[in-house]
Amino acid sequence: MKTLRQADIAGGCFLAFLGLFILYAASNIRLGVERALSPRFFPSVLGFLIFACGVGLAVKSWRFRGEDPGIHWPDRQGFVIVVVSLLLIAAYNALMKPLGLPLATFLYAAASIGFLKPERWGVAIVSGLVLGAVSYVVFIRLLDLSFPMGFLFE
Amino acid sequence: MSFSFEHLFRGFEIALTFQNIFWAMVGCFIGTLVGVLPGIGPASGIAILLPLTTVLPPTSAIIMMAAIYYGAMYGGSTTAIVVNIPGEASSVPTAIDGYEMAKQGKAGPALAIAAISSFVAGTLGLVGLTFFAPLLADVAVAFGPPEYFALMFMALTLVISLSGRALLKGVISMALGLTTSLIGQDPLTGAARLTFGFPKLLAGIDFISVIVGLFAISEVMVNVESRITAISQKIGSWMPTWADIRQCTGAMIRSTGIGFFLGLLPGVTPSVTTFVAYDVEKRVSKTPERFGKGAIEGVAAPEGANNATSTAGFVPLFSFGIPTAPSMAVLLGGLMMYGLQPGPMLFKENPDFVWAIIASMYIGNVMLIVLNLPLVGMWARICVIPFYILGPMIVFFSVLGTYSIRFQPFDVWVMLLFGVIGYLMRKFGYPIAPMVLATVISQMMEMSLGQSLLMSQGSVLILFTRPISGVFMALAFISIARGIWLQIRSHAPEVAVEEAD
Amino acid sequence: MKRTAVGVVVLLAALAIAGAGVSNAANFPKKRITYNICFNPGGESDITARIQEQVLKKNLGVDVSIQYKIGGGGALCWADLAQSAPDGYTIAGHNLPHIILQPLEMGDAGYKTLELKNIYMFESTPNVLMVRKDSPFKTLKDFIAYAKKNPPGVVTVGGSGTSSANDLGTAELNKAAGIKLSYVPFGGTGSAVPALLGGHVTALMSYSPMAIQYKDKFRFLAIASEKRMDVIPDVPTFKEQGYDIVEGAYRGVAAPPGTPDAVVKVLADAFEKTMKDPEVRKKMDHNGFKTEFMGPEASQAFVKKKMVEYETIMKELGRVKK
Repeated sequence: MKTLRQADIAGGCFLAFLGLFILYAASNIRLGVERALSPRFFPSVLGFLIFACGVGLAVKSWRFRGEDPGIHWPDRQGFVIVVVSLLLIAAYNALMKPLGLPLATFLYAAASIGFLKPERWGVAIVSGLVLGAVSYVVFIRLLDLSFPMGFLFE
Repeated sequence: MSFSFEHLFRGFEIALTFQNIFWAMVGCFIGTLVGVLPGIGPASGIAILLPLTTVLPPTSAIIMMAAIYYGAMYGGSTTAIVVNIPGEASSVPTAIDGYEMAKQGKAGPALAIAAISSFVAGTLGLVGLTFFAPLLADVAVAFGPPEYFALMFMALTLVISLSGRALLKGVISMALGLTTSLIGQDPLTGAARLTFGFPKLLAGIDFISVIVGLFAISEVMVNVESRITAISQKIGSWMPTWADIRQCTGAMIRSTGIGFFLGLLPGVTPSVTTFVAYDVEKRVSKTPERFGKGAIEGVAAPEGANNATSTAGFVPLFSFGIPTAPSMAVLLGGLMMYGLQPGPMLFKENPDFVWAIIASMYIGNVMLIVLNLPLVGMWARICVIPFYILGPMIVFFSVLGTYSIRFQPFDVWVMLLFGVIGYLMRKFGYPIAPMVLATVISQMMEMSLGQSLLMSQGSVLILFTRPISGVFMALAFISIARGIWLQIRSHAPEVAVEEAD
Repeated sequence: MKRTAVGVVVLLAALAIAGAGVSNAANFPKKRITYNICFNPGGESDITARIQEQVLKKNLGVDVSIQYKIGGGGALCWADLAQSAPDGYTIAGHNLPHIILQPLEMGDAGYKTLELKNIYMFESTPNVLMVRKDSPFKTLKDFIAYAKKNPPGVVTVGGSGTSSANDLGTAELNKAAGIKLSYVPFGGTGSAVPALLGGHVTALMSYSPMAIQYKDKFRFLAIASEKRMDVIPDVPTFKEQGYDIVEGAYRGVAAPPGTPDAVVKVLADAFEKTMKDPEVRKKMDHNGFKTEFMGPEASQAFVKKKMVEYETIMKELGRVKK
């Protein structure tokens, strides 16, 4: 998908299907007691709206013959950076419970700064330590929020 | 509570004691802090400090808690402007132009104008509260379920018009936002909806995780892929020029009016009024094309509305004992811990108490601007932090803010998912603002429609026959008709103005 | 190498957590207890917990941290409780009828009613039917007569949420008086109030604390308790007006399934002592909360009794999931 036109045709089709899927899901909602407003009403209206707009978008883009604004995709390396960054966030969240917030924060910050700027690994470790400490002092101690503390602080 | 100068002076006398000034200051400081931290809103800020109330006299405690509440309205804009993380839904419109300004090296003026606008609107709102509260109180209860529905419906049609030429995409974005909020239990019947058998989804998706994902996470993605070195290369002047302030005067006053009147309605939180104020500002502007590209009025308007709304919330509170926002409810809970009974009687029987709080709010607003303006320089510097450090920091605060909503990793996964969705929406030119507003008001809209139909035994006419709701519905339909007309006439590709570079 | 180290560390952590689970009651509690509140801060559950907080800390001898887990009308919080470590260090406030009606209506609410281990049931708030001070209805009789005169469904009654005690109370009144009121659910006790103040609903079915807070705005037609309440002595009961309706919300605390009885007893004793503290009682009474003193067995038995009652009512109303 290089042009916005192609993207909008594809997006429109996807949304049309999504709309149909929501309509289908809405028709499966259990009704229970008789109420003035059925619990199916809103989801059905929205499903239909998404379907209709999706079709509209696809058709409109199909017929569009002007200059295309294009899409700014990243280059190959940029793409790799985005994916790895997302995976690091996912790992952060997954490790939060077993390792506790401070340690997970340290690992996440050190790893992602180190990944984005490998030649500054010293900065990475120091920043990791600082953020880990902030997470402990501010969020666990000061604000008294029930984040997992991990075995280090039990 | 009826006005008399005697009461007001007595209030200032109490508010100006050393002890009360001190606790107001503490409240302002904490309020700014919880406002700056994404995800931790004023309600949890106040709740965290509730145990303190066992050692404070009631007046000082409420002065402090109120200061946290309106103080958070000042702090909320900071992360929205500097790093594009709106910590609350109400800061989303601020982020649109504020962050653009930050990218252009004008974070300083944006932050300063946010503080100034907050101060102006907060103080004007207070004047309204001081002199007209008894008159305005009736406005608050004149709105029943049909009026609420009509108001929300109109707000949605207004916000779609923000999407510029990308009308279809605006509607899609809104519809997806509304649908997201439907996931979970139906507020009216308790039926499970769109949960696809996942018990986790029964409790619904919290809009904070949606917002943080759409803005902060997708922003980080866009920035790391292009390997930018910092959000802004330079910090220009810290202070706005006189021309800037003059340019914003109209916006501040208009947004105060909008924020204040809508803020009288219980349940209409700043998240709604800031969107309306932003939209109105764009419509009255002679140069609407500047909006979304760093228009300074685009920062002043939502910030003003924000503070005016929070001040207006005290009108139903003092007149009827009705909390208009979750943080107000916590405040009332604080009163009950003293064994006081909140409700209209309390404020009628203890005028000193009410007027001391009102007086302290004048003082608090002055404190906040004094506290916030010098901080502008510090916050603005965040923009020049190398992005390889700032990016992970943004993620850190986003994850913590999202996790602390309900203390479950699930909300962080949702945030991550919406980060990816937000990224794709940016790439394909879908406007994000309609989705945010829709997520916030979806439940309220459906609930009030259901209630209206129960009131009218199933007839939709109730939305059109009651005068206030009829006017809102008419405005909404005019807005829709205009949108369809423009859509038919335009042959341009679907591009969201706010995203176009 | 690194991976092995991490593995060992994780294993040790898991063991430490598991070890904490089998702590015996003799040295319970020895660290901070998390007391989860399943509804918004500022609501009835939160206020009660805040009133108890300081005294409870003193009685338990450890810190008690009040946290909020909000979502799904409490279901999120209770489902979470059902999966928490059964060591007594995580407890949560629970409500009747919610914990009975949610599993009944939803089928799978993420927890089962009887699986939650009752510690103590400490308060109730009976339903109160109220109208505006300037309304023509002086008594319950006037109100019911008006409902009978009008077509069914025209008279509207606002209340807090669907399947709440307010909702059930309205349905019970419909049945007892042979009328049909339209019940309009709102987001909470507080958000229903403006609807009556603005005259958007005819009446409000709400809880007793509201009868104190709004005594100068509203008129109270009947209270759904066995006897009149001391703080509002001039509000007559439904019973004395000929309608056998006793309905309201009950609040207490529960522990995760499988918590040792000895641990539950320590907690229950601390709550009992807290609720009997004169200062706590005074604040509760003053705000219109009816204090209850049901220990683990008593509250468990009460829940079972209520389950039977509610199931019957819900079946009659046709609201049970088939």
